Amino acid sequence: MSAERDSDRPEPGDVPLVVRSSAGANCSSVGSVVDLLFATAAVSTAVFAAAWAALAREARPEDQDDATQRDNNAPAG
Amino acid sequence: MRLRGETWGAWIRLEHAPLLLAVDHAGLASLAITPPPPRPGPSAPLEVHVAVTSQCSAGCTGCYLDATPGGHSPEKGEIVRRLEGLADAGVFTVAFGGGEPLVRDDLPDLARAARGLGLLPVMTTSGLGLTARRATELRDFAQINVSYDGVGADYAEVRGIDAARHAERAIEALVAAGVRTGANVVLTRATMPRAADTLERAKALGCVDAQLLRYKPRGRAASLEYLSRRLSADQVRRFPALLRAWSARARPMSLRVDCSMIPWFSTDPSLADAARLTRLGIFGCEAGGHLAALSVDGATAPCSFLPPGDGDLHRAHARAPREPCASCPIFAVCKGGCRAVSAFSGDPWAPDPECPKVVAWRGAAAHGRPEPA
Repeated sequence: MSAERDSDRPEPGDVPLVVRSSAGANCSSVGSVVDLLFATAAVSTAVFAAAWAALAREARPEDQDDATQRDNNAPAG
Repeated sequence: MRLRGETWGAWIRLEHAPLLLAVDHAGLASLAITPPPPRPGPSAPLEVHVAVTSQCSAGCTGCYLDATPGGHSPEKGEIVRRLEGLADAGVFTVAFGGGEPLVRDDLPDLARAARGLGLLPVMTTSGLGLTARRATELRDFAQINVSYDGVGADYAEVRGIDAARHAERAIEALVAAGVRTGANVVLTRATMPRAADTLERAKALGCVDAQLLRYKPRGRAASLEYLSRRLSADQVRRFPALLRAWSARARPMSLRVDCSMIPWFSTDPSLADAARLTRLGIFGCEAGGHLAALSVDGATAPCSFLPPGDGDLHRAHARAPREPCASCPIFAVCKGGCRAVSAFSGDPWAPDPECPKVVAWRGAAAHGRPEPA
């Protein structure tokens, strides 16, 4: 069931930040949002900046206390 | 947020936005985030598809699971034990499917159990029989996608049952209940010409996103009829341009493509960029990688369309692709396309026979011409 990390397999860490948006909600295949593929560079940059800012907000020390614990995500959206 | 340490950094699922991020060590350090150390040995999938029943009375002609009214639904305690195992392994998302999950009365309990374990529960349903009251009981799901393969007759063309209006009512009920709702849209040769209308309708119904799905030759769809229902080579060739147009027209609804459609990007210069696809979190075949599936009897498979196994062969395949995959610029993301489609063609490890690059390569080889790049 588990995915072994292959040394020659490209990893997300090959780029500094990967942004995968939306909750997956299909029971038979992995879906990926494609809208940013067709967006301008400026829009993509803005989305990445917003994602980073959201991460920074959630990474504040008071929140990090819970970081490695099981969370109770509110329903997305 | 929920963190999972990896050798390259960490996967992070945000709590207040529907985002999954992969951040390298430098990025983590800049935010003073210290993830737990990577688990020794194999790393878990990000997403696991969990069949909570094999029961379904819809009788869709293309059901990949061959679900029937006499199917089996495991006890709630058994499903919860499976969820506990997935949470312990570090899985982020569990996608409930079947069969038809709505045959279970305990779905709200299962969703709450998943959340209590730190898992993000989502679900796919036909929506048949979903009432407004039932919809309100499903609010613990992070998202529910309703199978909506077309407006009116197009739905029946794909599924063999005339239930488009039922699916629409289910979407409306879920949206009214405040559940984040999407549409799953299977594209066939006959329905693709009107896909824009289907997406427009899904948006009007209140869907936040629509996932386009490739028709796959598994279960009841694994017949010769598949050859006339799959997209034509010309439709596949035009897919990237159409996707661009659909995406623009669908806003603010998002568009998603399933993992088996990534090969169709391979001959479009604007999309055939593995680094860019990676940055945007776009996944090709992740069977045995970021994806796994649990069948209704608890057996593990690399994906819902494949027989039980632990994914070793899939990872080996990803390390040693054949041509033209070996020289394809997006193989690192695509991983050679859909193994279920290749298996139907007789060799599960062959390059996806419906990939336009593979079609061109084989055509050139058959005529003795130099192989196209």
